[in-house]
Amino acid sequence: MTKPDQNLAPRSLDQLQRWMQSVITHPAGIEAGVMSGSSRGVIDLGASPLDEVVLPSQRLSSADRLRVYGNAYFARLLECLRAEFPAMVRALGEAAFDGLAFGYLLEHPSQSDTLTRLAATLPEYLEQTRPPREALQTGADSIEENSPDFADFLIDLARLERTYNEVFDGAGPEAVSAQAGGQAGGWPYEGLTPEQFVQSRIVLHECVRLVSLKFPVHEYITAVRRNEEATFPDARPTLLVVTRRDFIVRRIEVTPIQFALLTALQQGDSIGNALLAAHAAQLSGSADLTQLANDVHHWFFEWTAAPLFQRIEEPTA
Amino acid sequence: MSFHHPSSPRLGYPNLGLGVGLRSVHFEHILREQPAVDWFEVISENFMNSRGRPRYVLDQIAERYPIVMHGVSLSIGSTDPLNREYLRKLKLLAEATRAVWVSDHVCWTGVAGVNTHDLLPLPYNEPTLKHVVERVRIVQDFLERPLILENPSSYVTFADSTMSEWEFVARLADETGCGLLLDVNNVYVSAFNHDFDPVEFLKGLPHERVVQMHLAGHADCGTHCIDTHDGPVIDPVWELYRVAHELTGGVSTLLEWDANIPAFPVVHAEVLRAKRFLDKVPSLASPLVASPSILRVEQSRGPLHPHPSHLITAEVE
Repeated sequence: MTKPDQNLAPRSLDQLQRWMQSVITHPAGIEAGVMSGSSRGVIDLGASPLDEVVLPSQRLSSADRLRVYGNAYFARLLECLRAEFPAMVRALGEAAFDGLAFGYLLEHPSQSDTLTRLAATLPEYLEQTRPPREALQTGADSIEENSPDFADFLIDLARLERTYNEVFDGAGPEAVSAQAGGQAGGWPYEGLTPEQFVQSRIVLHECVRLVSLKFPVHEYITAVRRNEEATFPDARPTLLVVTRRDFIVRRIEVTPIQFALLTALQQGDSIGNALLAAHAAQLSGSADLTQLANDVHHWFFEWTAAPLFQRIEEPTA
Repeated sequence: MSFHHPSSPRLGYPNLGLGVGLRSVHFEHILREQPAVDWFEVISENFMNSRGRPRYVLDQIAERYPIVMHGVSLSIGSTDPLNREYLRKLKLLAEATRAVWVSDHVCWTGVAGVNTHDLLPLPYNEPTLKHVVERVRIVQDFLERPLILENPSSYVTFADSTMSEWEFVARLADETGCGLLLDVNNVYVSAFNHDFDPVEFLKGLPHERVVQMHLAGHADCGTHCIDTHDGPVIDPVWELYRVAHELTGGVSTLLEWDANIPAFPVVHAEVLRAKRFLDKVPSLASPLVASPSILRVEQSRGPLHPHPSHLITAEVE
């Protein structure tokens, strides 16, 4: 008579759960999961059949039954990632996207109660795992990196598609605008002296994201979302403001000086200091301060209506 | 702590009639047409973290319709500690939407900090029952209302189980005062997968504790069924519903449709098919279904994965 395997029974609920999770989330499938060190560290079946833990049915073996969960685990999460990154799927093709997403899921299993956070670190994962750029020999002693490549394009896609989802479901300007009586399109700086104006700070809405990209991927994403033909764009430094109005995500392409100005304002600089930062960012050496002042007046009207600006904080006396 | 009316039918909760699971593809239709639906059930996790359009739409709908919250990440059976932050968000949403009740599943979704986003089955035995009873009591005290728990579809059974699923659920309800969400499609799916009599399951429940019923479509893979929520309710499940209606005396009934979702009127029409049973005077003397003939193969589909899989993606201009 065979002595009962002391490793198999009785099993605690915690043992069973850790074992099952280890088995059904194994990338190589159920059989590999059962044989893996992580599952054997909890329940080591040894030579015992799987039936010792999971019962077969009349029609399916224990492994076949566990496989329903194993297949579902990756299928469900890949489906969610495909839904969140349709432009990446178009660019890569579904099989290649799934392979990439599979690797991400192995390193970043969900630890959140919501699937909306599943891809929170996908852009960073892509940056960390991207293939190295080919070095370009430019001289006897100098080596420069090549221009942006396809990996950079994919990383840009991931960053912007993820940003869209975060802005869509995060805090937005709608409630604030409603409280302000729908005057988001007005000029809120009446009554300020020039000195007060430059010393004031502008608080941007929480949803406003400033995104610097190597490719104009927003156009590619828009084409995909409209189910139109999308062609790979040439690399072009692209600066975007992503925001939300009436609960719909909107993106605005801006110039380097506008981007610098908004970045400084978002970081809490006074309007005066932000203007100095913007002026310094102007690529042309012959900056026209008068023209800049006129431009800023126009931009602030647009950005207040967008709405990017939540409120102005005047300097304390 | 006493909740509602433990000995009353449905724990004293109202019979809300025939409801539909709220899904994002139907947002526009519901807001525009205000269809004559008795009530809506929402996936808690899709809204408790949202500060965007999903939450805005829910607030609009909650002004016109009774709302019930249905969760997929409580993980009441896990050996991980209960997530207090999750419970806090759940309670806040329930208060804000005036949710008539809050439900989740008799399952675990992950362990060691991972969320598989699946509804994983428990071994039905005394230690598990003790563990789940303790956690249900904690959650009910926190939420200050009874938890309503659903029988999940499952694909494995454990050698460590010492009682039937319906005995486990009945004792859980008896010891905690929780209510039951009887998913008759899940009863059908699990009965097929585990070779038990679905009517025995229905008869073994404490019928006065059934607060709600679920209906849904599933996929029949020949050797097993998968709870896909991707089609209409098949006749054998309607027959189980008829039996459950007679046993419970009638409770709030809701249709879930989560994949290949058709236009709202199609989904609504499907749940209204339940009216043919509701108009009849319940009579326990009616002959019950002769099972297992009730378990017949009606359809065949490709590889599919079970729900839940709930992600609302961004709307971009």
